[in-house]
Amino acid sequence: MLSTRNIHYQAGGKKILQGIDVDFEPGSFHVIVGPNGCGKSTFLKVFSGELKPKEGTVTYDGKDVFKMDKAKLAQRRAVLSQQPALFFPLSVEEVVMMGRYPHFDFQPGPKDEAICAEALKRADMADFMEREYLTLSGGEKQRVQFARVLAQIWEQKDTTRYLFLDEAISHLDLKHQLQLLTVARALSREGVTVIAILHDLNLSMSFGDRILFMKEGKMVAHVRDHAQVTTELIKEVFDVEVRIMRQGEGEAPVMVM
Amino acid sequence: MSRKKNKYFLPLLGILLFLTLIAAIAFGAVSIHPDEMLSSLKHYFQGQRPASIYEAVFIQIRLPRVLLCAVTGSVLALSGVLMQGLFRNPIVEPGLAGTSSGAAFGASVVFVLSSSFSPELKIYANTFLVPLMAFAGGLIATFLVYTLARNARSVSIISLLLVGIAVNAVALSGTGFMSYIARDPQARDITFWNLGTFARATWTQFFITGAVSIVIFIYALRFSKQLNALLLGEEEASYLGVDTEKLKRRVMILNTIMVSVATAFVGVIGFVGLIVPHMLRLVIGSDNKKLLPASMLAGSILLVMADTGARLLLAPAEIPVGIITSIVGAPVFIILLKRSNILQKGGQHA
Repeated sequence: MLSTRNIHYQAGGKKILQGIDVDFEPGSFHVIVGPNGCGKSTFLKVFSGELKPKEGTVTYDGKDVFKMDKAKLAQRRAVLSQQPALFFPLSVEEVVMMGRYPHFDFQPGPKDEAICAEALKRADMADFMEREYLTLSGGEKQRVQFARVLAQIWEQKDTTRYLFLDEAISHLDLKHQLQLLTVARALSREGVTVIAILHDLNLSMSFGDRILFMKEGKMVAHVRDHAQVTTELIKEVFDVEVRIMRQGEGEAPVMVM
Repeated sequence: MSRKKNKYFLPLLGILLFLTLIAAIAFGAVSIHPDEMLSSLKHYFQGQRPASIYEAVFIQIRLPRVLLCAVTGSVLALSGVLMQGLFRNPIVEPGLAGTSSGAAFGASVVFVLSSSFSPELKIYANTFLVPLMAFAGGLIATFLVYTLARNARSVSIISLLLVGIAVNAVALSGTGFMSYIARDPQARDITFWNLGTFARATWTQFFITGAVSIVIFIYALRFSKQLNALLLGEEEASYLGVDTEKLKRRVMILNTIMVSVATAFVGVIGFVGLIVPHMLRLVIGSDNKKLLPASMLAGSILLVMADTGARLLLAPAEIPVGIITSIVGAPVFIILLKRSNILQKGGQHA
């Protein structure tokens, strides 16, 4: 269980996070939504252990994330951001192998190479192994980065694995958005705690087991059930009028602007 | 690409370096035959005096010069790789980031002050105090450029170049002031610093620079994984378990030690740290595990060639080697800038 308690974060005198308490249970696909500047990305950096909050605690299975060994944490927690900026000539294989860095000392073993190949396959990039990373399109680059992140937490560990997606699908075409989220959901079914910041509410509702609504650095709602997503909630969080079309039992509703 | 086929690349560079060294020793104001090289070495290790003037030139002048040149080249190229990784920008080099001019300023201070030293103290000053002050000057200048040019995500090349110009200008005017208040022989020393030359190479200089380069190479190689991760960005590297602040601090200090030591002995030599890693990246990519050793070898080759040119072009007179590397390097730098679209895009990144 990943738990945050009373998270406060400030930058330049501005209160960005104002007391967030939330539990992300393992084996679920969690989605965080909210308007621009509501503190989603800052919150992700805090609970991934990258940004120390002014106040509050983040615990992974009861252990304080800021007291964990960084290298050890990296063996089971991976983060995919919007579009890492890489300007140096590297092959796709070399980029994906970076995901294995927390797992080997100096020379990657055959197991690491096998995992990289599998991860590329899972990111739908199997044929790109030998390609130059810089010659790829934006979407292809992002899928390579996805493979890197998959390789990082590929193996089943004794402890929970974590995959965080920080607006990771923004530059992907529709097919690969779905493909990436499908792979992430499959991982959540293997017990990985998946937490994704998404913009598309319809994708959020069809993939998310639980949806966290954020506004102005606070948690507005943490829903488990589609029925809890109402037009009033959307109006409150996003200041937008929507119609919600409910479908059959167990199917995600569709939101129309 | 054909990265996998490149396993012969390093041995090939090694052989090329060996041939370059032999050629550089053989040619010069006095030509030295390979037989004379061998017999001179034999006499030297048997503790005998050189049998001929050729042997003496070889063991006392040519060999230390060419070897110092080789290790200096490797140090500059290595430093280029480290700096480019640190700044996350493929067109950074020690000269641009202020390290060299800061080091030259530090050295010039010692030069002027040492005029009041006793002769014995002066020898110590030249061997130890000059590198130390060069290190201090280089470190301060590099730190200033790095801190001032940095924004949230990475160091943009435009701000780096601008801050680099400013810090270089300060260091240069400091050096200029030192040579203004200096007496004639010291002023000549300072001028020589700013142009870079191997004309006064000694064995001690070779051993110090060589030892520093080997120690730092081994140290840097241990960081190759972390440096690769840093290419993705500081945050991504951190998510991969790298303590980025610690890594950056270490790399900056390592790098400044290397450049300062090299600069202290031979002066400012520009563009080697830029051209060598760039050419190698085109061939073997940016994986630091391969790039670091290859850069050391290729840096040696390039600088030994440049110095041989410096000795031969106007023989028997000599051109400072820094002039040669700048004449060749500056146009390459402009081509790189042009090709990387920095001049067009307003230069957020290379």
